[in-house]
Amino acid sequence: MQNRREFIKTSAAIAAAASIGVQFPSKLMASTDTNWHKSVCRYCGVGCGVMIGESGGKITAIKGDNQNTINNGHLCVKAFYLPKAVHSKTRLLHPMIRKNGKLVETDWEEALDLVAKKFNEIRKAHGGDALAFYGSGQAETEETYMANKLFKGCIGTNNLEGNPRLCMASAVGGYLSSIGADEPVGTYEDFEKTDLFMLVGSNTAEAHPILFERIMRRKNSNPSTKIVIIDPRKTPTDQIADLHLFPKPGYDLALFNAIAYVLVNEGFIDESFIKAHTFIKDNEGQAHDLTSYKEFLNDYTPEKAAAISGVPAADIVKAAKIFGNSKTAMTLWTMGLNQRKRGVWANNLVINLHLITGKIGVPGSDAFSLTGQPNACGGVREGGGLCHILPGHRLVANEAHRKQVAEVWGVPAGNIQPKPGKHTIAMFQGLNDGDIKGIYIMCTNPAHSLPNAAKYWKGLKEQFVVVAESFLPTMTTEYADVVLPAAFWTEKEGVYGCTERRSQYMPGVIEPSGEAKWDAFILRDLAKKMGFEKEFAKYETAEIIWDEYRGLTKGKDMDLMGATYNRLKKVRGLIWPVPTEEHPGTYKRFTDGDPIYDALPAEKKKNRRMYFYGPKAKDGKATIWMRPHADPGEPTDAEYPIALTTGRILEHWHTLTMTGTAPQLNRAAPKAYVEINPVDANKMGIKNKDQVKMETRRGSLNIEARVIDRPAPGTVFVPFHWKETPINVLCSDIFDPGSKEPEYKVAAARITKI
Amino acid sequence: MPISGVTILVEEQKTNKVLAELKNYDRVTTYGIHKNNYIVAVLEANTVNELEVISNKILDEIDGVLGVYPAYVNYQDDDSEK
Repeated sequence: MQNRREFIKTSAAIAAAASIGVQFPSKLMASTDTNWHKSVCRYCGVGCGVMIGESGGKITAIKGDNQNTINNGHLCVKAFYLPKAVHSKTRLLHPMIRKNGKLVETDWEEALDLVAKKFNEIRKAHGGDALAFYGSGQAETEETYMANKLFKGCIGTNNLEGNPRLCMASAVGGYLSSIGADEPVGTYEDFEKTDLFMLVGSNTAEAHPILFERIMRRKNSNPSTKIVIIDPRKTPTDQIADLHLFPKPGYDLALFNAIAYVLVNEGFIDESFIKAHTFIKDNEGQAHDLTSYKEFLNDYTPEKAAAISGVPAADIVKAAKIFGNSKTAMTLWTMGLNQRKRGVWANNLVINLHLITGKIGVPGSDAFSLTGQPNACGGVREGGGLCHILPGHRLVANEAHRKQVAEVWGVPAGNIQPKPGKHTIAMFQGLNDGDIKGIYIMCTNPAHSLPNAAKYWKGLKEQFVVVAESFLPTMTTEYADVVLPAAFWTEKEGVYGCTERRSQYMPGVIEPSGEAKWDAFILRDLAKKMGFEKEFAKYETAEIIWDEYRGLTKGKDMDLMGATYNRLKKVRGLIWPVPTEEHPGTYKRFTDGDPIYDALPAEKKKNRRMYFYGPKAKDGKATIWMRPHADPGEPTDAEYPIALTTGRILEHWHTLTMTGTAPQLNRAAPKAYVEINPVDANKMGIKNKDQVKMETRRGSLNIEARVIDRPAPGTVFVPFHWKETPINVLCSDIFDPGSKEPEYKVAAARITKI
Repeated sequence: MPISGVTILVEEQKTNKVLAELKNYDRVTTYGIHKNNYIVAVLEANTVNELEVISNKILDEIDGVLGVYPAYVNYQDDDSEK
């Protein structure tokens, strides 16, 4: 007979074996008092399926969901700490309002009365545009939907943004301008079918470990699979790389054009695909032919690109030939490409490589942007959680779209303003300038995470700030006039939509901690107190909200009509378009098997295998862009000679509101550090663990040096997690003129030993 | 006492060597080499943090280990909660 400890060990072994398809003898299984619930991981954008073990009203165990095809039962190390966050001592348990400079406990009635009164006063005195909402790619779709209706539909302002503006906006701009529609053509299924992974500005091993495992599995099972990395920093991802190109931060646009140059001149392009499926355009939108494109690329020979990017010409040729010779190819990228002054152009140039070679729309080939947050795609990009969009990939500038949404919301069409509101950086500048006098911040920590952060603390200090949060304190709650306790993962139900267009349901498993409430209901109750009782009376359940949103996706490229709660509770997510409850979801868009493509008239599909039907495409064609090279917004110079770049590490996530709740994790990775290449450290007389002063034009920080052969010489790296060393204060807030995404990834810096 | 069932992805030619080295680790019980070069193991610790420390040690110290993936974590009796 097993004792309890042996039983748990056996259960752990069985679960681990099952995750790789191995069945251990079932006689080892025993009954348990744990109730298991199918859900989704709370952390990154991969969308791993988890089974939540609940016992006695607490989360007591976590399993990878071995029926979920994203992760097949495997999790990353952050899973060790998921329940830590739920039951953390730093959970915010009661509403609080600031009195005499201190946050003090109050009840919901007083807190919401105060917010409603202040918001209505501001609106009456200064108009709806004096208010703003700042949300999150971690909020559920239902939560963002309620904020959208309150601010755009009722208050009448488009000053509604979300933190995906800071991480994914350039990918959105890239997809829209290149293939006419947001989000990838394919799915993770392509990982097991590709011959090449080209990873650009992505530390997949640390930031998306489960996808990295799938990449390793593919390489293990098919050793001819190639892995090429383009990144100014060596990371644990390098352990499986065949080739690593190290461009100077911000100087890779020329590199992508040079790869295209080699593909064009070495006969790797698919001219019939180009002719049938694409336009070629210059920066002004003027149409060109292939000959003209070839002439444009003559400015980007490998030698010329080497001089700009710092990558040896021979390596550029090698990378291009690997791409060209691979029958199928996947390019994966994250913030290294997006958080740039010309992030949209960088995205265009990567997608170009797939369009000129026809390596798109077929199994194993795709230009595939990896998302950082679990619902940046679902809640914000699809749900309309930015200042220029509305639910279901609609635009505020489109009159028909405004009417459609207003009708569903039950508000006059004129309530939704036709002009986009302030994007994130403009919004926080608006607070500084006093144009915005009240802001509601939900599920995010901008005082820590904004670039050039200290510049925007002024507005947070001076204006009326409401923060709905699960944890206290954060850097943002330090500026809050009102703090509202929000229910956390496992305490609420809702839907997350991950990187691969897959929407997944999460159940509420336990009661919210303390007096915490679901964010969607907090917004509903606030709306009622502000005078929108009629407009918000019907939202009594999460399913009612989801169904209303689902209806707004009908007939759109991201059709979710078949993704009812009833169905989502049973399946491991559905990949849109999924137009009916019978439809299984769509592996590849714009081609055979996509219900929207399949329904197109035959003449539209004649002599082509893809039809790009998205809202920004014309004649079903994608666009190959002739984008010139552009330097970063803040190049290094004699005064600031080192390029600073930032990012995540394995143990932590964003601003530590979740991973920081585990003291153990803090001990594992307790403080910030700056990675300096030994060549640079030697020149500067800096040794490992020395204290150094890091400076940019925006400020300075003292930080510990880690001398390590990870960043290329001339580049330093600092993780952005710790509020004690908020490196974002030093980052540049220069942003891409198209996507409005700031250039976190490149700042000119200098370092001196203290 | 937190307990985790993990799969350990190993380079194909190093599976037996890694398995042998894992057997020298305290609080690690192995359950054999399986298809696609995975080793099944159970990690035991007094705190969740120790689980991660063991996991990281396996990843950092044993040549040939490509990844350690928790599939099951039981959090009951975490000493750090006391």
